[in-house]
Amino acid sequence: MWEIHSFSSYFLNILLCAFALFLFTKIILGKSVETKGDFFEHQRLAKKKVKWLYIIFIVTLILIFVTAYGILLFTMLIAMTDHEESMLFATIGGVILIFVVIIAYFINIFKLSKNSINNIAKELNAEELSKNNVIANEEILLNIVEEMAIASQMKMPRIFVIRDETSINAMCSGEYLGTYKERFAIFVTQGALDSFNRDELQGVIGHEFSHIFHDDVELNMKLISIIFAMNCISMIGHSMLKGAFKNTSRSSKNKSEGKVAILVLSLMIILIGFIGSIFSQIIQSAISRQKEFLADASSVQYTRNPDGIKNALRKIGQYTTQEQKNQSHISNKNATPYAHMFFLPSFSTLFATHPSIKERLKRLQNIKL
Amino acid sequence: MVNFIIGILIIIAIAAFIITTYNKLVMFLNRSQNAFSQIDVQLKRRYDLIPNLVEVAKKYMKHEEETLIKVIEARNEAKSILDSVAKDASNVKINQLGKAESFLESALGKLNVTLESYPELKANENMKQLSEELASSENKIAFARQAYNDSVMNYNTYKQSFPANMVASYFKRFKKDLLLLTFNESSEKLNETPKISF
Repeated sequence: MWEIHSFSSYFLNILLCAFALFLFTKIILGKSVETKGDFFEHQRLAKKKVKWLYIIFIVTLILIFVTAYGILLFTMLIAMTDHEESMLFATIGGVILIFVVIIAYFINIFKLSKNSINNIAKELNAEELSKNNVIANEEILLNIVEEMAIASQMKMPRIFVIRDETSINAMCSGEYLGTYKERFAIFVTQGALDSFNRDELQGVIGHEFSHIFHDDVELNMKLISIIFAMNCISMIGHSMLKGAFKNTSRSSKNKSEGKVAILVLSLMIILIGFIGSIFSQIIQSAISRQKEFLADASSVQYTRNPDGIKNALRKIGQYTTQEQKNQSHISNKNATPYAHMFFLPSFSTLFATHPSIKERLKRLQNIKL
Repeated sequence: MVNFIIGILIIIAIAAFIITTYNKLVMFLNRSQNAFSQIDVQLKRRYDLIPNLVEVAKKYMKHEEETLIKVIEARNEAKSILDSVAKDASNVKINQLGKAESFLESALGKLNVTLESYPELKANENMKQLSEELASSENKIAFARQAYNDSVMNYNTYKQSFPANMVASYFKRFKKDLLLLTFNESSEKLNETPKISF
């Protein structure tokens, strides 16, 4: 027999789990920020944190589904008198929910993987560099990319310059990820090309090569698709709510109880989707921040010159304070979906995908050669 | 029945472990070998660049024939040794290559100093481009060596650590530890490689 108090203990347990998860996350992420040691040590630490964050992500998703199932069951039991039937409906609802999430996930993956390098270049208004069409500092950029490809043992990527972007930034992207046709591209803004010297540019390119080496492009695609799937749950709730309101306008009295149930249910689904999306975004940004630290440490491994990337970050820091606006911010609105892939935070958001420049400099300071 | 299923599961787990470890060992080994061949490629590319540089410099440096000839001689010497290393990579040959390399570097260093007194040569577009190429070439050689050493270290560490060492000791091709490349020059000397910078 299901009682209200058994439900309250059910949700209390979930809350406890969530709290434990929160504490656990705090401990994992707070661990040994002050690592001294070489870049390999720093890389290991960042990789370990990313692994834990994967686990935390999976547990969070499970918790969200358990909560959703509980809510479904709860509303069904209130709405219907037959317990067997309400159990059945709740289970069907749960299965539908999981299917929606999985389908939404794969649809988004498919959509994102169709985003070829050429499309991105067109959207960002970027021009490709090749050996034949370069002038002085572009040739240096080409040489630097070749050098870093050797240092990181990767294939030579395509290189693009975002011409009308005076801000200082760089990003990488790829197409046909995980297949033999896999190809990567590095995008550099004109501003970065003009204001960095050779060593600084080398540090930044080394950072991008780390993103390529550690499959960060593919990972980000997956994480974003999970967030999209969570938003899809909210959308289902919205459409249910709309349907319920349509019915109320021409309502009959004996069905109004069921409508209240649908109303509650759809609001709950919206809430679940919202919570899921928020938590996925928080974890995605946490993973992304660790990947930035990993990339900074790898940049030092490739260049064996911590000053390059440090000076590059400092240069940005100076511009930021001098001109009272963030120099790394991309003005092109088309670039929003690529925010996480840039070298520096390209948009300021509540859920920062990049650690602050100060924090990154502090870590780089601690890296020993 | 339960025991049977558990037994099968254990066998599958062991097989999966051996397969993934073996594949990882192959990956690390191939990375090291690829890195080694990169060093060779980059050395050759630098030897190919030097004659072009000398050719451009000749037009302006009529009175410095001797310095240029020395650079070319050192380059030819190093190149012929590299070619012979390709046939027979003994330690003696590799030592010889190291010596020829440092000889070439000092010759390039001298050329760099003489270049300082030819401002119109430094301003030459061709020369600028060539010296950027040469500087990049130096970097590439250094990075290729570094990448080789890093990948060798990764391979050796993975191979020696538990539990991968059990799989590694079973196969003949993983028996030997790869050797790190030692730099013949002291690290201070590496920092003052002839970077012809404008």
